[in-house]
Amino acid sequence: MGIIEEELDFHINISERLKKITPEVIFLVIFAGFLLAFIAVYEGGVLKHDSPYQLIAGDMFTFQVFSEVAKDTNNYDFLPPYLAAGHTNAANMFSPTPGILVAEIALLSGAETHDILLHLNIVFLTLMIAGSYLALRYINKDLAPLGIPLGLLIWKWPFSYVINWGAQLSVVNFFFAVSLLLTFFFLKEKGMFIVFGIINAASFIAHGREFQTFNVAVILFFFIQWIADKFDLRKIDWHLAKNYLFSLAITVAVLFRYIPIWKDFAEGAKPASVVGTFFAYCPLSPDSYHYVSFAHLGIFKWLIIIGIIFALLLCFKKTYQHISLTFLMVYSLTYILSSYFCIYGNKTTQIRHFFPIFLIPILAICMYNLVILFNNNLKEKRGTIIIILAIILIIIATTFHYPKPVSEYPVSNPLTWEGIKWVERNTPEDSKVVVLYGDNFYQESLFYLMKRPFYNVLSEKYLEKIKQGRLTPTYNMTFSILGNHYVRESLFKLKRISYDGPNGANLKEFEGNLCNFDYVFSNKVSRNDIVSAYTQTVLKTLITESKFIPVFENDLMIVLQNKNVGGACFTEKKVTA
Amino acid sequence: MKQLVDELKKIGILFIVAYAFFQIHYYKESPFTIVRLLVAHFYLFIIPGYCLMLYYLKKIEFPYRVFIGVGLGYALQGILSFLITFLFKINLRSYYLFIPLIIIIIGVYLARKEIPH
Repeated sequence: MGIIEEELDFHINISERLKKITPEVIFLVIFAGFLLAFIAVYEGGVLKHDSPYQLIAGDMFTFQVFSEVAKDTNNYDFLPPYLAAGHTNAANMFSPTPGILVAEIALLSGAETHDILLHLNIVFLTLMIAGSYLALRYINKDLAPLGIPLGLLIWKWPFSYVINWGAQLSVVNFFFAVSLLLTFFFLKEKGMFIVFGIINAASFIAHGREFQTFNVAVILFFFIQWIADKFDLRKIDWHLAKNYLFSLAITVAVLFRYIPIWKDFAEGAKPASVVGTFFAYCPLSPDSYHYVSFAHLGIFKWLIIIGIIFALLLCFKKTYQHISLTFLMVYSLTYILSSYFCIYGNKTTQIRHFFPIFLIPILAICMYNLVILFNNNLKEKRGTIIIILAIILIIIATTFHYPKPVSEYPVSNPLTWEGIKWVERNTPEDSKVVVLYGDNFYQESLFYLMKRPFYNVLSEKYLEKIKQGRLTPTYNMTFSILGNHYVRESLFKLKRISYDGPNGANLKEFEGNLCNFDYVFSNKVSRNDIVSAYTQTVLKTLITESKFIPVFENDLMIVLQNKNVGGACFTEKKVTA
Repeated sequence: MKQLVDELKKIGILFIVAYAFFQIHYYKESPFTIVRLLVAHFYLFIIPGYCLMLYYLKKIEFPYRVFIGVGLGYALQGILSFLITFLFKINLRSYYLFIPLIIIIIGVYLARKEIPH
């Protein structure tokens, strides 16, 4: 082949490849660009941080603790003693899947669990948007671009609550729910019930609440089919129903470990209260910090309301050729409905933070029907019009819902983290640690990461002592416990336990003496000069008048070791501010 | 076989797209860190899930099959890790790298009739 022919061939290949760049591909590239711009407010351009980064609420540290448990444990039966008031047989009932996924990615990638925690939330939320796109695309290619612009809102408060406040279990579960959505479309394929059953089981052990809602949606789907067919049972898709039932058998088989937990829950719950809470409307106070309503969707709320009307009409339309569309609508409507009814107290409404995910099909159906309504004569140009409309929706989302930057270290910071890691690496496992005072110590679950049983001095009572000018070794504190209140007696038998026992493991507030602990962990400085001076006096007095020695310190905090645990302590005295 | 080769190319493209996405997001991070992170996702979850879904090579289109496979991969790795530690009282560090390998072998074995020679 000559040079000219080679060049010609090259040009033909390029033009053939360019032809493959469809409007859909162009749209997806544009969407990915905007998605990256929205995500950019998280993680600060870095995967690996010196300490838990942008984790705002205590629950996030709880999730990190359980990722650490997954890395360390040889036995999922029991909680480590540092999470269970020193008990060695407290049953571990915490959802295991999210912790395991975080732990394994952290191990293989070489990052810390707190970094992977945030990373995985971002990955799963992105995958949820991708999955919702595919679910819509499976029904109609034109539907897909019209829904996903709503997904961008998930990165903005209050929806971003799910990213760094405390809904990691729900994020993992919701990712499985979106996977189940697509799996349901193919459930009639041979053996697909096994795939569905496995994902459904993983969903349950990630977070039971959304698992329940998804499966209610499946049951409602069959119920609606039955109503749409004028109560003719023969017209129900029994092949699909049978495969769903088979899948549930797989799910239950995987979940055998949770039988005692179900049993205990059933024994403890009164039927009337269960029914009452399930059907009770559960308004959340707008004053609540995590309040979410349709109003937060801005201009999209009107489109969603129109979409809900279209969705309801579609549900009851006899459209067997669009069985997937009916299911998609039932899925969205069930999640909306369930987010307004009490099932698990105020946690019920937490699901509303996922509005930008589970309302994607509703927005798509609204926009698509509006396009048809106003543009039915231009069928050949519909694809282009839809892409332009989708880009306009992205621009609206960007203009009105672009997220604000997130504070870098709202709870933890590299200096506090340095102290926590020092305690983990340098103290005996059964050491009792008392956490004295720090401006950033209001989320106590951060200190579970010391992996030592710890007592937490109550900040408000500590500040009272400062006001009273009392320099004292005794402070009001609680034993911090993260376990469920059960002790495993046998494989299928759990016993509820009380922590009000004589061993000092007491959830109730009590007055404890600093000299009874192995270590004191405290900040040396505070934003308030009086608090700084008082705390430094307490720490100095522990060193000079009791048997404490400093074993670790940095610019912010200090760890003191007690060389005479339970021995004589300094006597209370008056200090002047 | 050609279909499978084409699909493997697409998985490769998916890896490159994911790399580009995360390199932009983690722009201060070294390429090595990003590659290691992606290897974790692809090796532990995405490839095993994809291989298990090869059974549906001729029945389900590539994008839907891949997405279900991704969900299945994360689900199965999570469940198996939990069950192995729960039943045999061993730490996941000692076995978690072998689970994907076994899943990949099982997936390819189950799909052997679907992959034309």
